[in-house]
Amino acid sequence: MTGRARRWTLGLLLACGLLGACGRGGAPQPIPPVGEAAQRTLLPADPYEDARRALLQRQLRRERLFREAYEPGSLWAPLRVEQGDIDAGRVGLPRLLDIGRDLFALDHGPAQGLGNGLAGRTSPLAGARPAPNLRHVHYRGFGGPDATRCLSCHHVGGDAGGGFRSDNTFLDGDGKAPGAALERNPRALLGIALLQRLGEEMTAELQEQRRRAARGSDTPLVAKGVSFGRLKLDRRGRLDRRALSGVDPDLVVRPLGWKGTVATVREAVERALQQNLGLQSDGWLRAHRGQPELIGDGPDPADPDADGVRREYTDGMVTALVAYLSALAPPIEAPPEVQRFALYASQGAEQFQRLGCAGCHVPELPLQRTVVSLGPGRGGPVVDLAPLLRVAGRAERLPGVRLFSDLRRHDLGEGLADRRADPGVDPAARRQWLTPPLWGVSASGPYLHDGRASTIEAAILSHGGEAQAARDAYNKLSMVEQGWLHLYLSGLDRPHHLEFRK
Amino acid sequence: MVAMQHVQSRPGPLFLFTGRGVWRRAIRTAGALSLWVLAACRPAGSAADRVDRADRAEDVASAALTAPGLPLSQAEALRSYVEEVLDGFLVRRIERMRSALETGELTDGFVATQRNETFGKTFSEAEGLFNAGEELFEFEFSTAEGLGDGMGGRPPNMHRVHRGAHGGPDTTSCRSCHHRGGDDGAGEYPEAAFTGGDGADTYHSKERNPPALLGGGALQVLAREVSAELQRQLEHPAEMDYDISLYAQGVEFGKVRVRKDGQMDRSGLLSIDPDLVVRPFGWKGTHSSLRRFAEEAFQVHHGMQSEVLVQHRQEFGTMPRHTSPATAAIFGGLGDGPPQDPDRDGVLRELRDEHLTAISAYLTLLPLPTLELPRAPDLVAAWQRGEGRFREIGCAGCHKPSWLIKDPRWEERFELDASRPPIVLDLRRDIQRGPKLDHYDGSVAEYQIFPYTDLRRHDMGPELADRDAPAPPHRDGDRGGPQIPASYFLTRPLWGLADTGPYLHDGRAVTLHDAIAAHGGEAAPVRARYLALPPADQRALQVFLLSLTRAPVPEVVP
Repeated sequence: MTGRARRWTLGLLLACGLLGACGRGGAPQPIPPVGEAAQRTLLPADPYEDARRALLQRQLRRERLFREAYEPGSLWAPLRVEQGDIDAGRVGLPRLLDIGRDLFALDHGPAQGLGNGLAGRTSPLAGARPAPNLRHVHYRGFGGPDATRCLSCHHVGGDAGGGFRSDNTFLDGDGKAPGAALERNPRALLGIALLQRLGEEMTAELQEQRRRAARGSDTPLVAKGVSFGRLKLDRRGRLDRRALSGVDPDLVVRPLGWKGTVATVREAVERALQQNLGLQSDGWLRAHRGQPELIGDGPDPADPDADGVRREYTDGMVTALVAYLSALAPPIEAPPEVQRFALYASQGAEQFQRLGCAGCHVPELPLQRTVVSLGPGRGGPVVDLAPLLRVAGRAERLPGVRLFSDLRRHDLGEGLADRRADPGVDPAARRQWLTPPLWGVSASGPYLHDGRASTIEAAILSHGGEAQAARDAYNKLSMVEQGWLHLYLSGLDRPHHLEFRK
Repeated sequence: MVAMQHVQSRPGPLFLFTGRGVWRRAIRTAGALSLWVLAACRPAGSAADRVDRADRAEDVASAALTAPGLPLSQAEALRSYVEEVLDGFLVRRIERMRSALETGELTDGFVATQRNETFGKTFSEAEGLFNAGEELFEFEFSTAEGLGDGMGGRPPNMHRVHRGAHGGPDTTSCRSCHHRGGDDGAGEYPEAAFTGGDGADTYHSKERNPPALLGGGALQVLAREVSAELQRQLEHPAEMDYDISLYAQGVEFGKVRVRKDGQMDRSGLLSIDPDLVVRPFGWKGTHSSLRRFAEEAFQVHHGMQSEVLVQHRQEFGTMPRHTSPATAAIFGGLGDGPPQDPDRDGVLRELRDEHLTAISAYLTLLPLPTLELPRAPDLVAAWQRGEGRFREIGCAGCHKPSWLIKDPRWEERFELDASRPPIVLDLRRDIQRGPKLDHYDGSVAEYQIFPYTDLRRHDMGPELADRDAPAPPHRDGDRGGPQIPASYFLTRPLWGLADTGPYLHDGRAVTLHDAIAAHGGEAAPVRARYLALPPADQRALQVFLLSLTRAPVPEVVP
C-alpha cells in the first residue's frame, strides 16, 4: 500500500469514527424555546394574535379530551413514545416537545398507571383505597402519590411555574401527618436545563482541582468564582470533608431541589413521577431494582406498584418531559415602566449588592458550553440550549446566566431549619439550603422551602445563619430604602401571556 | 357546523349563555375565532414537521372543522377585550410595585374608590366592588393583614390539618385553591383542605376538594326563592294534625308533621336543615349566602377573622338565632384571646365589613357556567346520546338540569353600619367577565338556569362517607361543624364540570367514570344502570358531562 493510499484509508477511518461518535443524536440541535416561553418580553408583542393562539389551543385541547372520553386511549397512544424511535430519528425534536408538553399538563389516570394498587397489602407503603390510592403525605421514599399531573403543582404565573402554599408536598413522611414530613414548596421550573449545565461545569471544575491536587496540599476550592471551602488532602491523598463547604464530598454540584440533592433534570423528573404521581418509569425501576421501599412490594417485578400497568412511563416519555423542561426559557428582567419607579428599582439593585445579598444570590454565572444530551444517561438527542440565552437578533458571545444564585448550600440558621435532615444528607445539613435562584421571583411566590413567606419582605427577614449579616443590614435600612429593594426584586419576572388555564 | 345547527335547534338547555353587550360578542367571537384560526393556520411549518404531526389526534379533530367567516365587529370585540385585560394586568403590576414601596396594604381606602382612580375609568358601584373583591381574591395575605393566629405558636401558625372549626390556616390566598380551568375554578388534588381535624393527622379530618365557584350568584338567589317557597307551605294554620310533603319546582324536600297546636315535627327532613333554608354552598350544603361562605373560608383557610363576627361576639356573646350551624361553629372556634382579637395575633379588624362585602359581591357576580359541544360530527352525535342517557338512567333525578329564578337581584348589605344603603347586584346586568343571566326563553317570565343539582342532600352510602372525624379536644364551644351525617352530601351542581377534576368531595376520583362508579346509597340504583350501559353509551355520557364548562375568556396569569 502506498503512503498516499495509507493516508486515505486513515482519513476514511477517522471520518467513520467521527460520524460514529456523533451518530446517535447527530450534531446538537438548537432547542426551540417552547411556545409562550419563547417570548422574551413581559407581555406579548401582538396580544391579539396571542389570544387567538390561546383560543386555538383551548379548542384543540377540548376536542382531544372529548375524543379521549369517547375513545379511551386515543389521546395517550400517540404519547407513548419509545426511546428507540427517538434515537433512530423517527421522532423529531418538535414532536418530542409537543409530547412533553402534553405529558406535563394532562391529568393521568389509573389507566396510565397513576398511583398504586398496593392497598390491602401488609406493608405501610401505601394508602387503603383502590388505585390510584392518592394520599397527601408521603410514606418515606415511596411517595404519596399526591397529584395527578405535573401542572397540579407547577402553575403559579403560568405553566411550569412554582406552586402555592396549598401545593406544598410532604416528603418522606409517615403517610398521615404533615408535621412528621419534610414540607416543600414546588419550585418554578423555567431555565432548569441551564441550572443543570451550570452544575455540570462547576462539578467538572471542582473535580479537575481534586485530580490535580498534590497529597498533603490545602488550597481554596473554587468553581465559577464561587468558593466551596478548601480542598485539603492528607498525606495519603484522602479528602478532608470538614474543609469542604456547601457541596457533597463527591464534589458534585447538584443545583436542583431545595437542598441541592438532584443533579439532572432527568433524575428530578423520574423521582417526581414516582413520588408525586406514582408513575414508574423504566429508568426508575432499573435504578432501584431490589428496593421495594422505593418502588413498591407488589408480586409482579415488572409492576412493583401493583396497579396492573406495566411500563407506566417509557424512557422515551421521560425524554419527552426532559426535552420540554429543557426548552423552557429562563425568566426575564422587567424593570418598572413608570420612570420614577425605574429610578427606585435601580437604587434597589445597588442595595442588593451593598447589603451582601449578591454574595450568595450571585446575579450572573458564566456558562461555557450549552450542549446537553436529554438522556437516558449520556445518550438520547443532543440539544444546544443557546437559543434560551440569546436575545433575538444578537448572536455575539453567549451571555451569562442571570440566575441570582451561587448553586451551593449555606447554613441559614435554626429559624429556617428542618426538624430533621433529608434522607441521605448529612444530619448537620438540617440548617443548610441551596441558594434558590431568584430569577422570576416576583411570579413565583410564596417563598422559602416550605412557602412560609407570602412576601419578599418576610422571606428576607427569615434569613439567618450565614445570611444574618445581610439581613441585619437590610433591617437597618429605612422603610423607603427597603422599598427600593423590593421594587428591584419585583422586576425579576417571567413572560406573561393570554391563556386559558387548564 | 351542520351538526351544530341541528343541535342548536333542538329544545333543551343548550345555550346557557345569553348575555348582552360587549361580553356576549367577545365570547361568541372566541368561539367563532377558534374555528376560523383553526382553518387559517393549520398547515404551518416544514414538510417534515407536518409529517411529524400527521398522526396527532388534534389534527384528526380539526380536520372535521369548517371555517365560518369572521365578521369585523367580532374581531373588534376580541381586540378591545384583549386590550382591557392587558391594561388590567399592567395596572395591577403598578399597584404591586407601589405596595412594594409602601408596605401596609389592605386599608379602608383599598375598596372600590381607589380602583376607580387607578383605572381612570368610571365604574358602577357593582363593578367597583367586583374589582375590589377580585383583588382580595388574588391577594397573598401575610401576618401584616392578620393571616393566621397566635394561639399556641407564633403567627401565622399554619396548620395543614385544621384544628377543629377554628381551621388551619392552611394557605395564603383564595386563588391558591381556586384556579383550575381559570380564575375561581376548582382546586387540584394537592390543594385539598383537611377540615374539622385534630391539627396533625390528615386521616383525622374531613378532606375537602376545593369546588369551582362560578355561577354562585345564581344559586344564591335561587336558594333564597326556594327557601321562601318551602317555608310558605307551612304558613297555613292547622285545624288538625297533618303531614305535608314539601315541594319546590318539582323537587321533594321531605315531610313535616304539623300539629294543631302549631308545633311541628321536622324529623322527616333529612335532605335539608330543619329551618327549611336551602344552603347550596359547601360540599354538605352548609351556607345559604356567599357572604357567610367566604367568611368561613377566610377564617379556616387564612385565619382572618370576620370583623362582623368578632364585634358581635364582643357585644352580645352569642350568635343570633338564625345563624347556620356552620357559622355558629366558626363563631365558637374564633379563639380564646381578648374580645377584640380572639386569635391572639395582634391584628384587629382583619376581615372588615367592607372586605366581606367586596368579596361577596365578587363571588355573586362571577359569570355563569356555559355549555360547549364538541365539534366533530361523531362526537356531537355521542353528545346527544349521552345527554339522553343522563336523563334516561336517572342521573337527572338528583342532578336536576334546570331551575327558574323569579327575581335576579341580590342585596348585599354592610352589616356593621346600618346607615349604609344595601348594594343591589342585578345578575342580568352586573355579572362581570362572562355570561350574565338572561331569558333563555323569551315567553317565560322567569329566568332559567342550568345548574344540574336539586339543591338538597342525599345519602351517598358508606363508601362515600367521611372518615370518622373526631371532635377536636381543647377549647370550649369549638365544634367540628354542622352535624350532618357522614354519608350525606349536597347534590353537586354539575355546571362548569370540565376542568374541575379530581372529582367528589375528597377528590378521590380522577376520572369521570370513577366518580360515577363511586356513587352509592340513594344513587346506587342509578349507578347500577350506568354500569349496565354498553361501554359506548357510558363514554357518550362522559362526552356530555365534559360539555358542561365555562365561557372561553382568556386571561393573563399573574
